Amino acid sequence: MTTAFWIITIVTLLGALLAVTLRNLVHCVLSLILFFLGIAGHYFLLRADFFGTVQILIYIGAVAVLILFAIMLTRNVTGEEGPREILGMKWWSGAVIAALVAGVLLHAVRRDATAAVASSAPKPLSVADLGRALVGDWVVPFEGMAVLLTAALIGAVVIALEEVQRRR
Amino acid sequence: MNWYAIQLECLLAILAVVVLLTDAFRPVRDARRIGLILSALVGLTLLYSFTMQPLGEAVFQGMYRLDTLALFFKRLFLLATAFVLLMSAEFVERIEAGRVEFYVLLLLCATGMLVLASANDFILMFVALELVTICFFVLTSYLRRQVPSLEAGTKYLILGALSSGLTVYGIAYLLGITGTANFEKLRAVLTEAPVGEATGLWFGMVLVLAGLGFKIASVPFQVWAPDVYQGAPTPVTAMLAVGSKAAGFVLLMRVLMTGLLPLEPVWGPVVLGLAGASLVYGNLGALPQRDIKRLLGYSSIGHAGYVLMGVAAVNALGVAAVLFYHGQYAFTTLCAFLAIVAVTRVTGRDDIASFAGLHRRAPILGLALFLAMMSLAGVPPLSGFFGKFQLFAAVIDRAQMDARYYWLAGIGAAAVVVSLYFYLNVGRAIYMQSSDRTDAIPVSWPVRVGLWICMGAMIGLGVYQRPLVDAALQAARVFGLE
Repeated sequence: MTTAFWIITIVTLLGALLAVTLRNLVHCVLSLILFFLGIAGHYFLLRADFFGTVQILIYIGAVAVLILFAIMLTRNVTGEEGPREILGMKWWSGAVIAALVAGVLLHAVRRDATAAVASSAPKPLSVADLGRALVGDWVVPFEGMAVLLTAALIGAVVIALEEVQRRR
Repeated sequence: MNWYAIQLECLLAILAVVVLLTDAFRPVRDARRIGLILSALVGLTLLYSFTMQPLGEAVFQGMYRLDTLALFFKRLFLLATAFVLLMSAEFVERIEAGRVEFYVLLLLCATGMLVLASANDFILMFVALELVTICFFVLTSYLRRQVPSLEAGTKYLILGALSSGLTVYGIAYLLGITGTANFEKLRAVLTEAPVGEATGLWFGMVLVLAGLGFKIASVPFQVWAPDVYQGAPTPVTAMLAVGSKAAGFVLLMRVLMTGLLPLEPVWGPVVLGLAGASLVYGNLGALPQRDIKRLLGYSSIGHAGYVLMGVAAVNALGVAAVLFYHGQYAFTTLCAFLAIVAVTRVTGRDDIASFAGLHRRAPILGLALFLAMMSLAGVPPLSGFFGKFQLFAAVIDRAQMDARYYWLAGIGAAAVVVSLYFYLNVGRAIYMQSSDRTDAIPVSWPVRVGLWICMGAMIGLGVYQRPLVDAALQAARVFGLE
């Protein structure tokens, strides 16, 4: 278990580091996907199967693909133009924000540790329960989401299509 | 039983997917013909919907209602969609890319509206609302090479996203405090608990109201309306004016008169204020307008004010008046936009001056637009007059108990007088002014058929209101108000 933890942690950190340092935007997104995978691995290690699956489905399946789409439809992917300096003058503001976020998270985790012991653990949610809920009780909103995503996809293609035609 | 309830939505969604796939495998050459066929198919769906019977119980765990109110609005949305598709068929040649997708998005948008008419739960309501809104994001900016369309799309996107955010934030508050997203259960919870104990409840309610206020373009959430109405492709403007607005109102009534009815003392004065402000803003703002679509944008804000009068009355008469008003407003507005599409196809301009001498260039278009303007102004014997009459009757009825409502009726009456000026201004351009261009404007037979239907309905409902009044009264009964 510990070995798995360290491997996944290193992969996660590596992915995060590469995502902010690489020059080519597509490479950055691919590193970001590696990072997302690492986080999913952590969820699995913590026995939060559902979170792990959702992490893969949403972050890799949707968010990363969305970013890739957005990049493909933009010019200047290779990052040859623009500012070359990554650690610019404003690096300290980033550090302050990172420290603040870490502080809030640590605070929350420490407070939650006591609460988690006190409250009784809820019944673990299995994927089967989730599936049954989605096509049972919640079937209309679920199908509605399906139509919504179709509409959004068609809309995105229509907008991109015109963009491509204009560039020619 | 459950599938029976959502069959119309399924039909529209399947139709959209079939059209999309057909175009993918065998690219459509004549987009206009597809539009006419789709319009006819949606028209047939509308006729079919009259064979459907309402279900007494909410289905899908109480999430979805197929009551008389839902059926009333579903038919209204199908009617609007059929006409908007007809307009789109006339309009489609002006779209450069994605002509068939334009129809597909309209159909999906209509699907969302049909679901909205039945939504009895905040979760379902939000999903359907987003479906409608996202389709409109794309549709409003469809003519992206034209700056006004792009501007309309951007404004609608930003303000629409903001309003969606407010709505879902408000829903989260209501859900968190009452523990239920279902409108009926919400009402039960609020009836038991002492009203007004939780400030968060008010906060959530105000946020949800703000989101719905955006949909119906009522003051103070109206800023987008004139710009978007002006810039969006005309069929999309028509869909916004008729479909989106009606969808906002059916939701507003379901949320306020089912879920939040116990909080009526809190939201009643708010709706009263919104109605008055919308009446004043919409009708005064329309006075200096030179562009017909922009004029209709302001007029739409004004009409949101009239309809809110019926909502603010919170009685059966008021709800029935709201329904009747929407029914006749649909025919009137669709008639106006159909005529505008047919005229601008030739002239390419939207300003009122370009409609000068229209009665010589195309008598039927001139007559249709003139009648629509008169109906919007509420001139008897057209249907708009009777619609306003009912709304005023509902407000006066309420005013017997609460004198503040006399003020609202007074503002409404003043607004009607003001609105006569700018509606008649369009009529003046059509009949009194002459234009240097006298060449005839061709009108295709489908447009003629559509115009005759609308004009027939405007005059018919003005003279013989009984069928629609009965339908509206029956549908209004679902709220169980007095």
